[in-house]
Amino acid sequence: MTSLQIVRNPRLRRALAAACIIALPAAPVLAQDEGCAIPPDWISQGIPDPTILAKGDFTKSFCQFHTWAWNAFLWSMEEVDGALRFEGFPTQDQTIGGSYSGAGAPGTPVLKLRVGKEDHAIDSIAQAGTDGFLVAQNHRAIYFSQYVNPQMYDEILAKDWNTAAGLEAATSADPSPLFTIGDIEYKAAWAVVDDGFSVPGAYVRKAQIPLLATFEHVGKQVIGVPPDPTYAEAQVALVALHVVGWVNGHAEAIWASFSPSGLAPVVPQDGSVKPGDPVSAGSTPFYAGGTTLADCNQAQIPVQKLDAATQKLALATQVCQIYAQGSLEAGSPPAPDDNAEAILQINASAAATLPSDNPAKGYEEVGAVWSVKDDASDPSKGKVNTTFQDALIGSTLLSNPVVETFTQTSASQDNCFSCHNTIQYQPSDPAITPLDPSILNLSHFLMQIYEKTFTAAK
Amino acid sequence: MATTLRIHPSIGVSRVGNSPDFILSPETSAGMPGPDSPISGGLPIRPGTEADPISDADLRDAQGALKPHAQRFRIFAYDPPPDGTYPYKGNVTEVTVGSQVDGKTVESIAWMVHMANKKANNWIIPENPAEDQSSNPDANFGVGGMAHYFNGATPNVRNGNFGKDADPMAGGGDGLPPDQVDLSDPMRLKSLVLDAGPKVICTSQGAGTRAGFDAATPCRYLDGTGTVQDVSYPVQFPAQAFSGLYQPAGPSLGSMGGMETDAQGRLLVIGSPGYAAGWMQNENNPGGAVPPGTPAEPFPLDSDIDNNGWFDDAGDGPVQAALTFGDGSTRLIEVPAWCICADPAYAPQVRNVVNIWDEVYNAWLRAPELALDTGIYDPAKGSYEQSYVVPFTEGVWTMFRAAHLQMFTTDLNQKGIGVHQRLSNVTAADEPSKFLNIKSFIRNPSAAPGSGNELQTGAPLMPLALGDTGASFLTVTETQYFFLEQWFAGTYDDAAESLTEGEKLDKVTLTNLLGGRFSPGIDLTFIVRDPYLYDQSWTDADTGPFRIGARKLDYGTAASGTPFLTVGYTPNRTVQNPVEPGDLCKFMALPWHTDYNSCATHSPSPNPQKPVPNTTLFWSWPAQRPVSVYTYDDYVANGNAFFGEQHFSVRGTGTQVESGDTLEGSAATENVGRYQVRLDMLSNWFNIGVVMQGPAIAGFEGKNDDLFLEVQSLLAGPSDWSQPWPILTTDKVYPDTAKPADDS
Repeated sequence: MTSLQIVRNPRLRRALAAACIIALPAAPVLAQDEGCAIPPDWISQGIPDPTILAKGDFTKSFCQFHTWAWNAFLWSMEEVDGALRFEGFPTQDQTIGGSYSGAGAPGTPVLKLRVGKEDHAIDSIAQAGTDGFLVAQNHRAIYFSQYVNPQMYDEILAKDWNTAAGLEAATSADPSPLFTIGDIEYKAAWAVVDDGFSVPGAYVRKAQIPLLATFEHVGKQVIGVPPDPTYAEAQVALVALHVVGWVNGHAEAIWASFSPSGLAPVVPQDGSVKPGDPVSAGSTPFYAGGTTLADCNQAQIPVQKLDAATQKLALATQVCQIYAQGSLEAGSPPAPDDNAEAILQINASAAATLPSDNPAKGYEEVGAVWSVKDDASDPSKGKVNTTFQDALIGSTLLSNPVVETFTQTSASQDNCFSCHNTIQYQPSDPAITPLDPSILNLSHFLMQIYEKTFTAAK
Repeated sequence: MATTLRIHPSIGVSRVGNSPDFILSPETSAGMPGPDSPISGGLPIRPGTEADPISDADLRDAQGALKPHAQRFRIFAYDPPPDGTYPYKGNVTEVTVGSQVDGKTVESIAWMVHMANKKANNWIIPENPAEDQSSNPDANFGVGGMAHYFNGATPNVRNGNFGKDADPMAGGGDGLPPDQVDLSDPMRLKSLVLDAGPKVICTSQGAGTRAGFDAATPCRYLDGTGTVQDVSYPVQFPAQAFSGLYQPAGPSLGSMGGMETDAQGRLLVIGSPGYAAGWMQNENNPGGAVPPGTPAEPFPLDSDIDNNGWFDDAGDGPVQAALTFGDGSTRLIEVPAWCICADPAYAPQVRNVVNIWDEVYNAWLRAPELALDTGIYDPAKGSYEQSYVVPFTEGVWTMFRAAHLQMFTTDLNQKGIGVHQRLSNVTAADEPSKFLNIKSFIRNPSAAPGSGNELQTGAPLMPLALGDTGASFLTVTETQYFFLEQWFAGTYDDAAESLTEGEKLDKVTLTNLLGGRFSPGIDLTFIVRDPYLYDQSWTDADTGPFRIGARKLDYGTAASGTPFLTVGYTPNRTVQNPVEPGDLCKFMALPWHTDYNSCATHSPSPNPQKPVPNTTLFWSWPAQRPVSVYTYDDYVANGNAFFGEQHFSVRGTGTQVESGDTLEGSAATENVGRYQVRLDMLSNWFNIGVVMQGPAIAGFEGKNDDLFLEVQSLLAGPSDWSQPWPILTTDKVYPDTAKPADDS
């Protein structure tokens, strides 16, 4: 068992005492660093490969986790051959086909919309387990793409995790296979920014996006990407990047999320904004100024409508962030906990120190969450067939407001591990056999490969 | 030795309806495939037939009134006499008019039924855990209705100030403390109990002749020899005690249904009309005074389950029979069956994941007083037999089928629908671990409450529905969980069930009723878990299992004007505690309509704070109280190809949420799909549609038989949209007007 430095934090302790009626495992209380910051040599000497930091120590402080998150994010956002590094990383289809060349600038990425059931070809969590999808203030839907870093790609191919048969065998193995320290998985969210719509601070590029349609799916009419979509070129802005990395002692990975700052107003946790009150007077790319709290984060499924010709949805989503830094404030007046303070500090440090031409300059970490379960001698111990809900630490209420918009307050679905966990994986398609409980099930990149290749194999 | 005769089902169920016509209660199990038909079980039966399922055209009469269900009771002869094991291994034949029993021909059959309703003179239905038992494992840590009756305790009392010069409204839905109220007060027993008295119908009167459970039908009973006797019985209906009844819908509350015999001499117990009535507040003390200023107004319907000042006409009571043979001799079948009259079945083929059979079977296996089958569970050891080979279809697949069918009465999202569909496709030949990992997805009912465990966890644990009194979420029974574990471990087979016809009726009838969430439930409630509810001498040949432990009523002592029935059965006592007519339904909501109205979706209670309140809404009893439905009209409009949008089952005028704070809580989504004024349900329950399988719908042209669509809804007017789960208390509600114009 890794030794953890126990630091008594009265505020956090009070919060736990007041809010938790459940018996948590012996959770380490991590230290609050004096100043959680981007290391200066990252600026002066270049962003190091996050694999190095991933092998380091994660036992002392919240800042260690957030420093790794920023390291991975900044490294992934570096420009390489005219595109961001992660954009050149293997996609799902490349991983299935083993066709990643590992060199050169990425082509125009083909993005697919994450919406309704049909999104499961891309990601089994449609807005974190709902049938809803997000619509920006320009009435265009948000698109998603996924990648893994080359190390993880090599591992997937070497272990035959890019086939249904390989994944079925691997998830049935005892003990459960583990991911390798340094593996990173990405999910990127893109807003269409044609027609003058802009997302301040966001990286922008051209992409091929599938055109939406209204069609019948399993007995219902849905709006989404039809089974055989046509594609069109569009200007897209990166509005969120999930960076999921496996680090020393954490077989469950650190789940971190980044977005341009100011995408959506933050709802104060002191109760000062009532449902009928505007959350903010100002508008953002995902919020119309003056919108009340009651109108925030509504999926609007029954009343949504698509104009196929313009690709515009009738109703824009009004997004509000419920838990800043993915954390519940405590005390009177409510104040950020140690984890949130670490995020705020390192975000401020990044904002202050990143050069203005850095594509990551306008972004901030929304939060990061991981588990307190830790046993270096048996990394999978206690981590198979669990949703970790009784053993979370960090941003335990982490939802990126533009990726997990609709479940920010849904107790069963309000953090990454609610859906990304190690219990049996149950595909939506009744024809596909579930996968046994396994550490591998954390990765929906793999789970979607399983679904795609299962169907193809049949 | 005389041939053993028993009446089945041991517990039958009629259902209310406002039509004078009726259909027969189902004799097949909800959702289960039939042998020669695409139509799944659970559908009522067309009168005059052995087993023909109804179509949608049979649900209502020519005037559009909803037909009640009539429970068909039959007599079976056991040869040789049962030896006290279950299931019975011998021969069973039905006894009808003309049958031979012990060498004698049955010339006629006299049936006796005694229905009553004691709801207004009973304890309230606690919705919270029994706080003083929270650390007591013998009282299930305060969870479940039985905990409120542990160690001699009882909850508060309904109509606590009835018969007193005191505030009629005192206590409201919370009732008054039991030490302030004497339930055995003759004034209460006379005024607050509906008692139709014993009624007899004889096959010699001809099939179709009806004996009403009302004041007009003379009271008669079967004496110890099986001879019909007249009696001057104190029949009690509200109009006798109160002059100014408030009846928001329908005629006066003067009937609890009736009975007929069919051409074979079986008994048909027809459900009540289904109405409710209230007395005036200033009549709360008949013959005495009430506080000055007490208005001549009905009591408000201010509670979902416990309303002072109200009656409904549900009921329950024993069913007995006597045979008259060709030689003039008679034989009384002394051990009664029991009939309850419950709410309408609005989705009769949609199976409950936990049904009353699951509850009853669980109790009968686990209680030392009953010990139904020690080959499955040995109460002396306190453990299940790990060598028990569970029958896949009856023991396990029933749950999978039920899970799948929920999509037709709930607003499940696409993921849930797909996963449940796969489960429904599992066969005995499949490898269990490749379909459902029990630890991943099934909430363990034996997890200790209150310890921060899975009992407080919603998704992904199943069943994804609200829990019993004091429990946040629903659990399968211990026996269901054991069966799932056995299946998962590979200890199962595909053996067919080997019940006799009578035993099948016992089981099938109970599988069609709601279990699990008994606060209070909708057909029967937590008392089905009480071993002292039942006749514990079940191993006696003439008794058999699953019989209510009936009080032997000596009708010879009845006297007009003097209440005959007493307080009756009290749960969770450790002595045999005889059950009277009206003792089962008295633990249900008063009136049932307000409970039905309310129990669509709610937040979990108690609400787990992990670490913030759970704002997600979950279903109460979706199979028994449909929340969201697909309509047949929409299906036809979509070319018999796809469903279209889901609608609330309870919809139309009066159901739209405006302020969002009309009924309970402040969130609009907590109030959708129900009447915003409880009173409206009393005059609209008979207009709600019924969910039926496609092939049972006249003219159905769909290609998929596994569709369950709403038909025969008479509800109209503006409604709100049903939205796919998860629905949060913070979500908005949208009127089901046309979709918005393209404002892009």
